Amino acid sequence: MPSNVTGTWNDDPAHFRRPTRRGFLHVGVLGALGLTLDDFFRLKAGAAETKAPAGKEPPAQSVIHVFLPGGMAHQDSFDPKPYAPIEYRGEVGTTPTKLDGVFFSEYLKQTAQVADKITVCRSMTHGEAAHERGTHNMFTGYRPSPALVYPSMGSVVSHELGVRNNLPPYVCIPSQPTNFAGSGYLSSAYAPFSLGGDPANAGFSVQDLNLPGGVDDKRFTTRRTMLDAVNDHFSKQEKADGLVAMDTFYQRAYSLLSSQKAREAFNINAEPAKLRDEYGRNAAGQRMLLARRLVEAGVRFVSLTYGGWDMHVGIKGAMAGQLPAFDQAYAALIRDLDGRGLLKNTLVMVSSEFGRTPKINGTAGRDHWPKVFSVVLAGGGVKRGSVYGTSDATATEPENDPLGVEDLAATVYHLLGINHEKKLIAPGNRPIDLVREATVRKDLLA
Amino acid sequence: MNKCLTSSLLVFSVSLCLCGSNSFAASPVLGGVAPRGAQRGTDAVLFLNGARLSDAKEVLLYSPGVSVAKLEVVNDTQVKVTAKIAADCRLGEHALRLRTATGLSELQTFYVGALPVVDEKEPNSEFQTPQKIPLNVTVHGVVTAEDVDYFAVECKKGQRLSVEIEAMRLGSTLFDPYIAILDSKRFELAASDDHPLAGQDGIVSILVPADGTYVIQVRESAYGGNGGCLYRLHVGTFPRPTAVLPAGGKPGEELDVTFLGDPAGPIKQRVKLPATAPEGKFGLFAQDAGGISPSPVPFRLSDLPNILDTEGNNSHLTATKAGDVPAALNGVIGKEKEIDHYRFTAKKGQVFDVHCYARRLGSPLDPVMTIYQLNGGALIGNDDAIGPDSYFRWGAPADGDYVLTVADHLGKGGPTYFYRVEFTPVQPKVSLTIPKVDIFGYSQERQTISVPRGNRFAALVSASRLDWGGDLTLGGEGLPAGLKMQADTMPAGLTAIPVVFEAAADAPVAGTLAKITGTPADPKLKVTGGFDQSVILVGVGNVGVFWKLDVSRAAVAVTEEVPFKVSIVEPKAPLVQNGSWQLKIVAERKAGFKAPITVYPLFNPPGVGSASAATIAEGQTETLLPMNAAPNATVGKWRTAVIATSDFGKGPVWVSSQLATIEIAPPFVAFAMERGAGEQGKPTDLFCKITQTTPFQGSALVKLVGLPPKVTAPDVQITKDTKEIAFKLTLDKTSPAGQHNNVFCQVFVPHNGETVLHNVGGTQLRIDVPLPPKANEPAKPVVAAAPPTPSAAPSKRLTRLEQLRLEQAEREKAQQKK
Repeated sequence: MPSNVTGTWNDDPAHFRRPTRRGFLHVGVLGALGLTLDDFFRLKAGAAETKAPAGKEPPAQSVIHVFLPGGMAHQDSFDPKPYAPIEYRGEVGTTPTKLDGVFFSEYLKQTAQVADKITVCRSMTHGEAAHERGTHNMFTGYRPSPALVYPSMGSVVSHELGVRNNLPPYVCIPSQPTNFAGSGYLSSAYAPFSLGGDPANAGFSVQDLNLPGGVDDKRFTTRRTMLDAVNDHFSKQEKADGLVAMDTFYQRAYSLLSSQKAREAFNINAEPAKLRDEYGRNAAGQRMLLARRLVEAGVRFVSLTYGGWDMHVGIKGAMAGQLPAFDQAYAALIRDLDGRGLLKNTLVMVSSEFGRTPKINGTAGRDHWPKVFSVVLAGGGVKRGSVYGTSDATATEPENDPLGVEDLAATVYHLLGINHEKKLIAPGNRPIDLVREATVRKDLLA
Repeated sequence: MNKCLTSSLLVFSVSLCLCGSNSFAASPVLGGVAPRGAQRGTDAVLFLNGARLSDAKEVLLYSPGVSVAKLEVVNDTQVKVTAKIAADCRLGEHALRLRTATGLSELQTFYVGALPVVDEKEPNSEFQTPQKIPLNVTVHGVVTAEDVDYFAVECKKGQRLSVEIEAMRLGSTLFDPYIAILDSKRFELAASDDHPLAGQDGIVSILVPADGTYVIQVRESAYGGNGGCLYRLHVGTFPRPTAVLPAGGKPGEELDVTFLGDPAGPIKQRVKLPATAPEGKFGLFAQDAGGISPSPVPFRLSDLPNILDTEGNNSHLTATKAGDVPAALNGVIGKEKEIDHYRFTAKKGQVFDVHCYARRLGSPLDPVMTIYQLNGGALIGNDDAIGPDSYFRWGAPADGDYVLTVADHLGKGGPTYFYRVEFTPVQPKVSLTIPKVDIFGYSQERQTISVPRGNRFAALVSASRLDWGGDLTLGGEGLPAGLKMQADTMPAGLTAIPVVFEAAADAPVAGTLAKITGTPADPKLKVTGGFDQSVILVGVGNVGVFWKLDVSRAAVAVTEEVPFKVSIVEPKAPLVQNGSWQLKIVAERKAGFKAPITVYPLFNPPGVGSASAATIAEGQTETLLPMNAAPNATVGKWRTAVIATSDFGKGPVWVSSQLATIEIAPPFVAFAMERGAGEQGKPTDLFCKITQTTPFQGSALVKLVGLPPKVTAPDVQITKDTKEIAFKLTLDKTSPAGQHNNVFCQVFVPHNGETVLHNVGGTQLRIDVPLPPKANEPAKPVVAAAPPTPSAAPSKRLTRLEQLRLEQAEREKAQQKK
C-alpha cells in the first residue's frame, strides 16, 4: 500500500467535514467546486513549500493552454490539403509559412510568419467524437471514465508544483470552461482560479481581489483586529496543527488582499495600449495578453478559451469570422513571449476537442472528427519551426507519428519537470497513474 | 352532405392597389395568423403578420369552406384579410399561404370552430376571481409566464361539460397546456395534460354532478408560458367522444358508426363518407343535441370490408370469424389483459401488409399484434413498427385458417382503446417531396416554387419508391399558366433530381397549389401515392416535432420579373473520374443591377463533389464553381442546375440556371508511377508508365505535384502515343529527408478546345541523407563519380535499385584496380 501523498483528496480533512462559511470565502469568482481562499492558502502553506525544485531546471516554467471549444477544423487551419478534391479541401485557401513547403489556412497569415518558432502536430488523434468527451481527453490526457473524474493538467501542475510568487498556480481565463478543467479526484484546492470576467471587456477587473466597496483599509484592520482577538482566545484554549495552518492561510489571504504586486498581475490595463492593439482588442487578443501577463508574474498554468468552433454550417464564413482574431492574438503572443525571452520557458499549447470531418457536409460545414486533427506547441523546450506527424492526403487519418492524448500530456508534464510515471492517490486510496501508458515524444523536444 | 368537402379548391384573388416602388420586393415571410381562429358561418377578420408583405395579392387556401372577401395591405408587415367562413366549413385546422407579386410565403394555419369566440380577460389568474363565461363558447387566451387562467361556467346537474384546448396544435410555439375542471370547492373533477387524440393538448368531459358554478383551469403544464402561448379553449355541452367504431369505411359509402368515450354514453351516428380522400388526415366529428366536437376522431378511408370484433373473442376457439382477407378488423380492447382474436382465411402465397392503426387514430392503445396458426404457434408478431403501432408484412405459408390477435403492450384496456387492423395486398407506392433545405432546423425555406417572369427556378424533387424499382417520370398538374416544368426521367438508382420551372416572359403573375406527380416509366406498373410535404410548425432542435401538417400540393407561382438570370455554360469536355473542372456560370444583368449573385449547386451526380457556393462578384457576370469526380463517380451524362440568389434590399430572390448536361467519363490516361528515391543534393528520376484509353489530339501537359519542399521537377509534355515518361527531379542539399507520400501527376489533356484535368498516378518519394564518407574509404575514381543516368543512356533506363547496384559494382571495380 503506497503511503498517502500529501495534498491528495483523501488527505484533505476538508473532504470529511462540513463546509464552513470561511471555507467558501472565494478568491475570484469560482464555480461551486472552485478554489476558495481557504484552499488556496492551504495550497501555499502545503505543497508549495514542500516542492523545492531539485536538480536541473525543467525547460518549461509555465504553460499557456489556448483551448478552442467546439472542435476546430484542422483542414481549414493548420493542416490544409490544397491538392485534395474540393469537397475535402473545402473553400478556405492557404498561405505559405516561414517553413518551406508548409502551408496554413489563408486566415493564419500572421501565424504563418511565426511558424519558425512553433511546432505544429498534424497527427493528433483520439476516439471521442462527442464534445464533452473530446474536451475531457484534451484537458486530462485520459479517456473519460464513469468510475473516476480525472484532474486536468492544470490541476495536476498545481498539485505537483504549487504556488509561485503568491499567485494561484492554475488560472482559467475567463472562467473554468468545463468540469474537466477542474481538479477531478484531487482536492478542490487544485481547482483553477477563475477570473469571472472577460479581459476584453472595458472596465474588466478580477472580482473579489479588492476589498468590498465601503470597506476601507482602516475598517478592514478593525475587523481583522476583532477576529484576531477571537482567534487568540481560541488558540489559547486549543492547541492543534490545523489551527496554526488555518491561521497561516488567513494571514496570507490578508497579504494577498493587500499585496499590490500580486494583484497587479491581473491588471491588464497596465499593458501599453500599443501592445494591447497588437494582440487585438477582442476576446482572443486580451485573453492571450492577460495569460502572458500572468505567466510572467509567476502563474504556472493558464487555460484560456476562445471562440466557438463547432462549425456544422457554412464553415468558410465561420472560419473567416473567428480565425483572424485568433491568428493576430496568437502570433502576437508568440512574438511577445519570444521578444521578452519568455518563450524558451513558457510552453504555449493550442488544442481543441477534435478536428472536423474530411468531407464538407450538406450544409457547407464540417462535423466532428477525432481521428486526426492538429495541436500546436511552442516554446518551453519544444522544437522551433517544425511540423510533427502528418495526416493522409484527405486529412482523414494520421499517416505518420500518430500522437495520442496520453503522449501529449506526458510530453507536457515532462517539459514542466513532472515525472509522468508518478502515481496520484484517488479516493479509496487508489493509486492512479498521472498519465497511463504514455511515452514522452522526444521528437517534439528541442 | 357537406358542400365544402365536395367542392374543389377555390382561390380567391382580390386585386390591390399597390405602390409601384416595391416591384422587386421578394421572399414574403408569414409569421402567423391572428386571431388564431374564428367561428364558422361568420365573416372573420384575420391579420396575417410577417415581413415583406406590401405587395400581397392573394391567399392560397388548402381546404374548402373559407373564402377571402377582402385583402388589404396594412403595411409591409401586416395584411388584413376578411374571410367568409361557410356555415358548413370543416372544423379544425386550415392551412394557407400568402402570395405576393414577388413570392410565396410559408404555410401557416388558423382554426375554424363551431362556437362563438370570447376573449380572455385578465385578471382571471386566481381561483377566487375567475372570468365568467357562458357555456358553448371558444375562449381565445394567452398563458404568460407562470400564468394560470380560470374561467367560471354555470351548469345544471346531469349536464355534459366538455372542455378541449387547442394550444400546441395551433402551431404557434412550443406550448404544452394543462386543463382541469374544478368544482366550487376547488376539487378537481377532471384534468388533462396530454391526450392521444390531441397530442400535447388536453381534452376533458364530465357529467356535472350538481347544479352550480364550475371553474376551468388553464395553464402551461410546467407553469411556464410567454406572450406567444396562445390557446383556443372550447367550453360547452358538446359531445367529446375519443374513439369510433368501426374506425374506417369505404369512400363514398354511408355507414353507421358508434362514438365511444363520451361521458353521456356511446353516440350512434350515420355518416356519409367522401368519395375521394380529402387532403390531410380525415376524421369524423361527433354531433348530438349538445353540439359538435371541436376536433374529429381520425377515420380511415379504404375499400376493405369492415369486420367488427365480437364479445368474448378471447381464444382461438371463440375468435371473431373474419372470413377471407383482405379485410379491416375493427375492435376495442375493452378491459385490462384482454386479447382480441380474429380467425381469417388466407391462401398459400398471398402476401399482405398488415397494419394495426391505434395511436395513429388517437387511441390510447399501444398495440401488439400477432398471427398464429389456428390452434398452433405464433408465425409473426410486432409491437412498435410505426411509432407505438404495429405492422408486419406476412405471406400465408399454406391455404387455411389463421388467427390474428391484438392486445395492449402493457395489458391495459378500456372502453376507448380502439383499433383497426387492415390487411392489404402489397401495393407499390411512390412518395415525392421537395426535401427540406434547413437540415438542422424546421424552417420551410425554399420549399415553394416562385418563378420570376421570363426566368427560371429549380428545386430538387426526391422520390421514395416502395415495393418497386425503375425509372420514374415526373409531372406537374395545375401549374400556373405560362409555367413549364422541365424534369428528366429519374433513373432507377437515383432518389432525387433537379427540376427546373420556367416562366414565359408574358406569363401572368399568379399562383396555384399544384400537384407534382410521379409515374413509373414502365406503363405496366401501377403505383399509388404522390407528392407529400410535411410542414413542421412546432419543432425543437433534437427533441423532435410537436406539431406538423402534411399537404399533398406544392405552392407554385409566377412572380414579377427580376433583373438577373443565370445559366450554366455547358462544358464541351467531360469531367473524368478522379479529375476536376471549374463549371462556368454566367449572369445576365439588367442595366443598373450590380449586386453580387451567389450561386449554389443544386445537384451533383453520384461521386461528384463541388464547392458549396460560388459568387458572381458585384458588377461581374461570371463565376467558376469547382467540381471534381471521385474515382468511382458514375460514368454517363447527367443533368444538373444551379440556383442563384441576390438581394435588392428587400429580401433574397432566387432563380436558377437551365438544366445543363454534364458528362462523367473514365480517365483518358492512366499513370503507373514507380517509387522515387534520391539523396539530398543529387538529381534523381521518377518514372511513370502511361496507359492511354481515350486518344487525344495534340499534346498534354503533365505536372508532378505534391513534391516536398526544395524538390523540383520540370513539366513534361505527352502525346497520345507516349508510353513512358521520366521526371528529372532536382534535390537540394536541404530537401527534407524521409518518406514523402502523395506525389501524383496532374495531366491537362486537350479536348474539344477545352482542357480535361486528370489527377493520376500516386507514389512516394524517399529522400535519404548521404552516408558520411568512411574514414578509410579510398578516393572515388573519376569514372565512378558520375554514374550513367537514363538521359545519358536513353536506350536502357535504370531503376533506382539497378543504379545502386551499378554504383556498387563501379566502386568494387575501382577497389580491385587498386
